[in-house]
Amino acid sequence: MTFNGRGKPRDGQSPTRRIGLWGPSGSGKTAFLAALNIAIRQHADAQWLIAGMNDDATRFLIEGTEQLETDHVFPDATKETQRLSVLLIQDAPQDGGVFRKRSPGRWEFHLDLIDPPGEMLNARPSVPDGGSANADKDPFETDGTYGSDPLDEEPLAEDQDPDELINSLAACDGLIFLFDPITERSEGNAYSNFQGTLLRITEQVARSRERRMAGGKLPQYVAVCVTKLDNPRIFRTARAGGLLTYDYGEHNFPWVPDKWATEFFDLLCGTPQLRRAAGVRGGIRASFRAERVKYFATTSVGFHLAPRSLRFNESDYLNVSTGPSGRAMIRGDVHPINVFEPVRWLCQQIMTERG
Amino acid sequence: MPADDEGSCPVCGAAEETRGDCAVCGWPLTTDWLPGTGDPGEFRRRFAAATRRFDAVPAARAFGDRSTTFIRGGVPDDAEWSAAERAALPRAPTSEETVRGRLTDALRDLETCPPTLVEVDADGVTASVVTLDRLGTPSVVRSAAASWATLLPELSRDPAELRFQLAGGLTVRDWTPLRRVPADLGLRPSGQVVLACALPGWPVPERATAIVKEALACSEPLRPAGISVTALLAGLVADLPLVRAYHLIGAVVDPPTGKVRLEPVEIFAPGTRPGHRADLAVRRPPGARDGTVLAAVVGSQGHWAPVEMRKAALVPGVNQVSAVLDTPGRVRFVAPGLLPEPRSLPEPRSLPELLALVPDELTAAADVDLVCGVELCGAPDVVARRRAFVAELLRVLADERDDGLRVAVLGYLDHRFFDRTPEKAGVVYGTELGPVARAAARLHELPSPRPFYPERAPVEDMLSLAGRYFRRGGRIGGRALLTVGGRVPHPVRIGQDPIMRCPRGHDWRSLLKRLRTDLDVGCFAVTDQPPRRSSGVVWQRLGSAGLYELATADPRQVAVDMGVLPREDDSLPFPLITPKGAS
Repeated sequence: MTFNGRGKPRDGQSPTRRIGLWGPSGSGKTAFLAALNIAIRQHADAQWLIAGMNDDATRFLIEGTEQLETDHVFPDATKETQRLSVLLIQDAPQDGGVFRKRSPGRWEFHLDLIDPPGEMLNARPSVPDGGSANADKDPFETDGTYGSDPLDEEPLAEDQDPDELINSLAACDGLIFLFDPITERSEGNAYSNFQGTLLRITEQVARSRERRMAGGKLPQYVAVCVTKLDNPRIFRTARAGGLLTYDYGEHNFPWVPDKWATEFFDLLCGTPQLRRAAGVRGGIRASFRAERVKYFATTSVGFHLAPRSLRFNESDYLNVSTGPSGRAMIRGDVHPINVFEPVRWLCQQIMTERG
Repeated sequence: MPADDEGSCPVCGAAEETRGDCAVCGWPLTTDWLPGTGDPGEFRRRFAAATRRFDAVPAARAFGDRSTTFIRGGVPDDAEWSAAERAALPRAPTSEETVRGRLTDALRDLETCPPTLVEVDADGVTASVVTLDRLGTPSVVRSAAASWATLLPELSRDPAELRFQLAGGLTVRDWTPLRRVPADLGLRPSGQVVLACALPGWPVPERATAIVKEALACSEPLRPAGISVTALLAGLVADLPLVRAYHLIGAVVDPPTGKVRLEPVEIFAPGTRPGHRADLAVRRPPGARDGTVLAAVVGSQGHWAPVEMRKAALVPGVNQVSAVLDTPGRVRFVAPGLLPEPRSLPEPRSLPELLALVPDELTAAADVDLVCGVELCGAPDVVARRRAFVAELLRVLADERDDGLRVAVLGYLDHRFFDRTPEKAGVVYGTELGPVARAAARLHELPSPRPFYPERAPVEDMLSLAGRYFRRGGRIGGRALLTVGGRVPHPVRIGQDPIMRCPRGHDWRSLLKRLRTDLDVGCFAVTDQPPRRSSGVVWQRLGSAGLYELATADPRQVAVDMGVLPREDDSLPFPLITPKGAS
């Protein structure tokens, strides 16, 4: 999924700012995007707005939000390329804000979104006949891979052009890379996905006249998001590492502060089950400038908050489990953690750099 | 009948011993010479009249019919016949009441002085002894008998003619053979002898009676008319009170150990008279598919002798069995509506064979509390198979045992995590420990909704409630828990996998441990299919005493393994009874 400049700016200004959302199959890209709307709405900084710029985007925001909040299910992964246009708007803050003021009183930030299936970016062959990887899975057995989107395994639509999507990623000013330790633990595909895509992006940037390598590194800002913090394995790892604080939002949800996020990622990469993920870490450090990389521990749906409860309860935090149909379901309200923050950080960095 | 022998009275046949008239019938045997011409016709008329009058009396005794051909001289006229009938009547026959009294007196001391009855009747002389067998059962045994043909060879072999002769139709010329009767019959003048002449007034039997009386020096003979004293004696003997007590063999099982001991229950005490009915509450032993043996015995432990043994198909639980003492030595088991044949059949095996079948201890506990936990959610066909298994188990239990068995059925639904509906009513439904029939009915009523949380089932809630029921039941004997399902319990805490914890905070591990160690519950489980991976460990613990697969599990075998039903080779053939002193 990429944020790009395909949508037309409203007032003719076209300072295209592109952000690509990148991750292997089952890493939760679709849920991340749907949760972004909720995250912005819930975020204490009420100066942000999000809106669809085309029918696909608007429908996705409406339906994705409704699926998460009302139906308590995860949005279906895309079966074909969705061309989504999202507009981010920030009222000008009193202290000057993070973006350059383009009109008195507020900043507008245009984003065109493309959400290609993860398989597109995956170097491995696609699943034939459109079959779900989970179709034969016994719902009574668990391997801890809840929340994976079976339809992420769908093959590309015939009209999708892998080169075009790589070009879109290469043209981005910022990238959000979703690293899903749970899927990585079972599938081990993050490194191959990352490595293949990175080489293609590097190739495109090297050819580009608009983009220049900076200090031998790729020029993009990268927000590395370790997803599914709400999963018990991830949550317990963070807690065991002493990397949690319990003060996110009004309900005091646990989260990994930015200052410990890199350490958290290193901690995960050091576990035997995620040995191949160390290649991802090495690739990031080798390809991007350190000051342009930031780590986040995210969860799109957040932790469970019992009805009529105001505070997080660590003994009953599980918000996602297997529903009656055998697919992952959300128990209660959605409280995204560190979903908006990576986007905001990228926007800040990009706008600060480009002025 | 004219006497053909020379020297005998032509009318009565008596030996001619004197001149003049016959001493028996008065016929003039010799007369003085009379002048004049004889009148043969007149003689024939007088002779015919004499023989007719003489023969009419035995004919009246023997047949009550004047037309019999045994009467010589023609058919008696009315006057002659009436006179004959009057003469045929016995003088002062003994009343039946008197006979009964004499016999009853003679039966007073059977064990030390059993009586001998000597009866003279139309067949001859018989001697009957009243004896007590080793069971203390009295009976009338014919000890000796002699027919008239043996006793008096001169009597006719023709039954009718013999009867006519016994009635006096012939005067026996030689009574000597009769004097050998006591010796021939082995009768000695000792002990208690009751002498009876069943044909009072009949000359031949009376003569025989007199000879025996004289030989044995017994008291005055009984002379009942138309009564068989032997038959009367048999009736009186059959109506005698019991000499020794009769017991029903029952079994008592010690609840904690399962040890079996046989304990006879007195059903008829000494002195009990025939016709008495004893009612007894027994319980069908576990198993008993082939019936239960009701054995009335006499004797003491280890030396029982059967009086009556019948195989009965007792119903589960308590049975009211009734036994009627028909006669000493004959007991009839009755229980209206319960034991008509073919449900109650004679037991073909001997008592020693049956006693040899009694196990030292029962693998099936006498008192058992069984909780059946059934997972109600799931694919309809799978749930139907689970329910069918439990239903069949309960049917087998209801059929083969009920006593001492209490069953609870606990069906558990799913915890509801996604619809925000508080579980106010809980997720476990069923009955408290109680009769099998009630549990079976409740099972039928339980719902079977679709699964709501396919990862786990609230087994832990069921375990919690089962523990509460077991404790509340307060049973000392066996306890068994049978879990029938496919999914394993919720964890008490969230672990590494995204599996919902039990919202009620139940810890299946500690609950199971308490059931097994604190309450001594045997834990059995039937799984939908062979457990996989980590769930296998859980099922191994839930079925620590026995783990089965639903497709192949045999309800009866599971019941046997649980100790609810006995093995085939340790079934009790006798009913269970409440031991003495137990409430």
